[in-house]
Amino acid sequence: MLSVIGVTPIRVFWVVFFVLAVWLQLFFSGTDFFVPGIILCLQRERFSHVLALVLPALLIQEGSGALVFGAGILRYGGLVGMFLVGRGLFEARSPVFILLLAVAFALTQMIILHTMASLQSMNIQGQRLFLESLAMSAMIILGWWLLDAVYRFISRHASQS
Amino acid sequence: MRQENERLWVKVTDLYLQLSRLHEEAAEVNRLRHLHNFQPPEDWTLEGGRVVAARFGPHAVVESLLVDKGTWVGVVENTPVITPLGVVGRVLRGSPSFSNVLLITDPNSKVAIMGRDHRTQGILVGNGPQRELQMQYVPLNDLLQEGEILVTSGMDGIFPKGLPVARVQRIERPSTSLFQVVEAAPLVDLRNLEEVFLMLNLTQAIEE
Repeated sequence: MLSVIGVTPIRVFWVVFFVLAVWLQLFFSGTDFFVPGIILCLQRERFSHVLALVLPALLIQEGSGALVFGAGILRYGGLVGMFLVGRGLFEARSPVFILLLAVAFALTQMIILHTMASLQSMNIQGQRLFLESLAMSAMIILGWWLLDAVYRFISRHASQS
Repeated sequence: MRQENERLWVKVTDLYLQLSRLHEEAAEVNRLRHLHNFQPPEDWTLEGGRVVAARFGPHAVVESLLVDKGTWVGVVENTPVITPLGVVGRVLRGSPSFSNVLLITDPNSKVAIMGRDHRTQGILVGNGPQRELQMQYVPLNDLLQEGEILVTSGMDGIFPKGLPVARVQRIERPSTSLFQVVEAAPLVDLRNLEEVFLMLNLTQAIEE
């Protein structure tokens, strides 16, 4: 009945993920909880679905941050770009690829945030930015692993029923 | 007997939850009553706001708060943010319904201040979270004492004169410098804020 009106388990999964990502950001400063979901979406879904996830995430991050508009586009653009390039070199679903992508994204984020803050003549604490980026790369790996497991579980049960 | 026991347990749990909610509401009423009694300086009006989040998201690279009031109620860039205890910071960026507030503890925050008793002027600069603020450019011979309250001097054109900001914790007079080393602690507990005031300048609004 619910699938008739467009509510599928996978859609519910993405809505719950989105709400959880916003909620978790309240407690972990400097961390972007949308990134593992965007990576999973790039691996499993159509590009239009990726856009549907990235756009609201982008608006939330840009609107709530202290930096002027643009840092989010560079960050998420960089993530999608790195994923597409990396997919040509590695198996996109392998944990090694996710590990490399997480580290590369954390490094890119550090450079982007530092550059954007410098352009606004803002002093930022380099050590904190480094530690938060390090924590974020760990969160991306853990978050992707969890999301991937839940996604596979849901899609398997959805196809059986 | 067992059913009655279970029914009573459910009722006790329910009452505990109600009690906890009422405690929370009573605390909120006290805080709001305290805020209500606060009078703004002349030519300024206050707009109450709730703190929605602190350093939300990866773009929050500075010490900041997200408050649920924005340009729709007249908040502009550099709008002072205070509580009845003292200065919290100023608005860094505003959107229609939210504002990003730069806290006084951030190294990018600079507030023109003076001692309440000795009227010695200086600039109060943040040093990062949970670290003392620093009062800069205080000449060696100027009077200032430990424990003195620092208030805004109004010289920065952002904060009105006379708002309490911090209390002097330590003063050092090095022989190799022209200025004193002054450390101060914020008067407001910036980590546990729930409600704040945004100070809107009426004169500026009329001119615009």
